[in-house]
Amino acid sequence: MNDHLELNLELELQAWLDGELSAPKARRTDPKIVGDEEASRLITEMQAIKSALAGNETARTVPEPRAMYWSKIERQIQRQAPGPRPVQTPRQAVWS
Amino acid sequence: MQSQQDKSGLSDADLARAAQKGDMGAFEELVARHRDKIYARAYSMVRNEEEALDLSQEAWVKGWQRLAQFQGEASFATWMTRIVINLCVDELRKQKRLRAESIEMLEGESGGVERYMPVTMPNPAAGLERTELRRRIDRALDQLSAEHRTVLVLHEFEGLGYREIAGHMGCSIGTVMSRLFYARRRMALLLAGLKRENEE
Repeated sequence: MNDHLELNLELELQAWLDGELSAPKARRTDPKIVGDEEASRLITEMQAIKSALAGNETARTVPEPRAMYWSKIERQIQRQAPGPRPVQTPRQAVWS
Repeated sequence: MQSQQDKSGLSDADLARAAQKGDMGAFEELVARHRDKIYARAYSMVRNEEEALDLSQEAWVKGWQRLAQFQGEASFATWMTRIVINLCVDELRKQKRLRAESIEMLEGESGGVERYMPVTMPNPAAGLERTELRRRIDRALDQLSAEHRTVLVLHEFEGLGYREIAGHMGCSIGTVMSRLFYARRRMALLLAGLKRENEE
């Protein structure tokens, strides 16, 4: 066999790993993995990357205090929003 | 302040209902609860603090404007996440960091370099302490192209399927599959490289 699998087979193996194949198609893919060393290696690598990424996204927090972050949103909403009609609090009320 | 304390005991669904009736205090409480998650998703896609901040705030403004469309089929946080993802995809496309599908397909047909890399090692992340693994994943994400990073983030971190990713990115399922494949191969190479770099 070629050192590299056909692209279609590689994508099929990936879809199998991701649970994106229908049950009949997945059953047809199983033997391709069992019977091919290169396919097994590729599946192992993709599985390792999938497992490494799972739950390992770096947590990030907004680099601004709550009030500052909200005030920009609030200003934008008041400038452009037709959305739900804001409930006016006494602080926000405009007296003419 | 008192009203915010009162709202802190309400569920997201209750707050969303109140916000739909125009209660901006309820919406502010939702922002306070989920702002880190929405910002983090924007950052994971655009990899720039200032842009992520702007996009996350724009997402909240859009969220307010579209509140009537929120029916509660998904959680409020999930609904907001979809909004910020779409904004980020639009922004990346505007900046031409997401290339046209036709160019991607051409590269796919001729074979991206990742395709010809040997399988790295059984598990380039093996034996790493969690904090270190997260740091390396983050560094590797910085080095992926916007197309590859976007599909990887949406699939692995956001848990979206191929069809949904294709919908967000405005491309075919086949393109999602090939981008994801190359992204994983490149990620394997980058993590293995970072591991070797650290061992030397």
